[in-house]
Amino acid sequence: MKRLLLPLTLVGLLVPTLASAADEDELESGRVIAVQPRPFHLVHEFTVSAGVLPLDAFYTGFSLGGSYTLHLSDLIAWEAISFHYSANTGTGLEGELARRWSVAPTGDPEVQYLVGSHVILSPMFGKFTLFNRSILEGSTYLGIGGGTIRYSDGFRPQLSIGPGLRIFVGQVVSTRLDIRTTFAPDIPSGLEVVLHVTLSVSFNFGSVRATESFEEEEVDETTGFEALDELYPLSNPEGVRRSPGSTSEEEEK
Amino acid sequence: MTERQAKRAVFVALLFALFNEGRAWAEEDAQDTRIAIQRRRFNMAHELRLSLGSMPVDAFQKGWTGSLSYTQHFNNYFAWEVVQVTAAALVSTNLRDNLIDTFAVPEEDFAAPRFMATTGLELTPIYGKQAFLNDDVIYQALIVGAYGGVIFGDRGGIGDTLGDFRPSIGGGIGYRLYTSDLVSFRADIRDFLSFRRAIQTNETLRLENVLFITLSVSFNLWRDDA
Repeated sequence: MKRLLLPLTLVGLLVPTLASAADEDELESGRVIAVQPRPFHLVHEFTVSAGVLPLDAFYTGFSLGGSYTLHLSDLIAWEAISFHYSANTGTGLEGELARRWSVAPTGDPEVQYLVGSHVILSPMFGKFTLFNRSILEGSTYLGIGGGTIRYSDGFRPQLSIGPGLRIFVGQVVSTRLDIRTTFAPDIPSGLEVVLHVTLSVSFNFGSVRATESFEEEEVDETTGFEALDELYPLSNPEGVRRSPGSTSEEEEK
Repeated sequence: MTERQAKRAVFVALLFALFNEGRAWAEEDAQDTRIAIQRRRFNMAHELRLSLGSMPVDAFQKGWTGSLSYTQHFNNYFAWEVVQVTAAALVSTNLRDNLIDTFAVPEEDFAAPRFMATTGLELTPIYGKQAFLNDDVIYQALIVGAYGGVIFGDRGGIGDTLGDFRPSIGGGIGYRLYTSDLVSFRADIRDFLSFRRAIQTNETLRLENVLFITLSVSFNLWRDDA
């Protein structure tokens, strides 16, 4: 079985390469990829979130929070401010330590709230089918940023990174899933890693982004016959009104 | 306007936005909107998966895992993960080191998950494609699953470890990225409730939470359309 596994893995990794090479051939022969314009236009996004901080050994945090995001383009947005308050419940570890080994831990600082600011990169946008019955539109993004975490013993700086998935309900409402890993240095003892998973509802307002100019819609007042009038200026000279039944020669007389 | 009135106005505005979006959907349904859904570009059949992952929640030992699994796909939506076997390399936390070094706690007392064998049913309700930087098209799917099996706690020797078996049930969510008919990549997050028996005198029967995160490469074999 082990002998089979390595060739199988190699073949598996090689075949996609061949496939993509075939795709390139297709491209060279003029294959066209059609990418539709995005139907939803995010500008000012206000988000309400509920989440969980599951990693700490002594407590699990349940968070409530929100954020404001300014969308600069389809690709780049600035989550200017986010705030998440964490209500913590014990995991039972303290009780286990006391019961099994008669050990009482020195108070482990807990996350109380997180404040951050992130750059949101949304390189992927597309369509999903839900049971092949309806179409959902969504985007996948990456958040990179930092801020501060208020622990029970003081503030610590934080850097965070993580992917997210947005499903659009409409132009105004969308839902988000964010998984962010936050690194908070705990000097001098080390680095605290905080995993924060949130489910959110977002409300989008506005139609013109800060990076876009507001253009008034031009009303087309042309009739479409201007070129014809230029070619045949006498066919309907200005100011001459024809009465019903009369010919143009009678009008001239 | 008082602060309370302002809060109420914001709340009503948000409710109105949600209601309007829902009504728009309902109206679309009522109009019997016809939608075109393309045939799936990738269809799974017999999936052989190799995974690397982590069990990060245990307070005393973090597990770095390697897994092998086989999944049979019945159709576009339903699949049976016939078996997934996992072995974990355990890394001691500072807390465990302190307990061993300072309080002379025996190393076998901790017994973090060492091996795991599970089976489960998977549902793929969402499948789609996304444009990457408006240039490439990427196909992907979202998977949800219910799993059950046994977890074996690390007790030093292999015999003692196999004796500490813990029935476990759990649920999970997965994301699949297709790269070809044969190969796809998956990220899975599963959470198990493990029934841990009292093996030693200072232990009690309890429910233990086991979070299991994996990144996998999948090989889609013996397809009908191959």
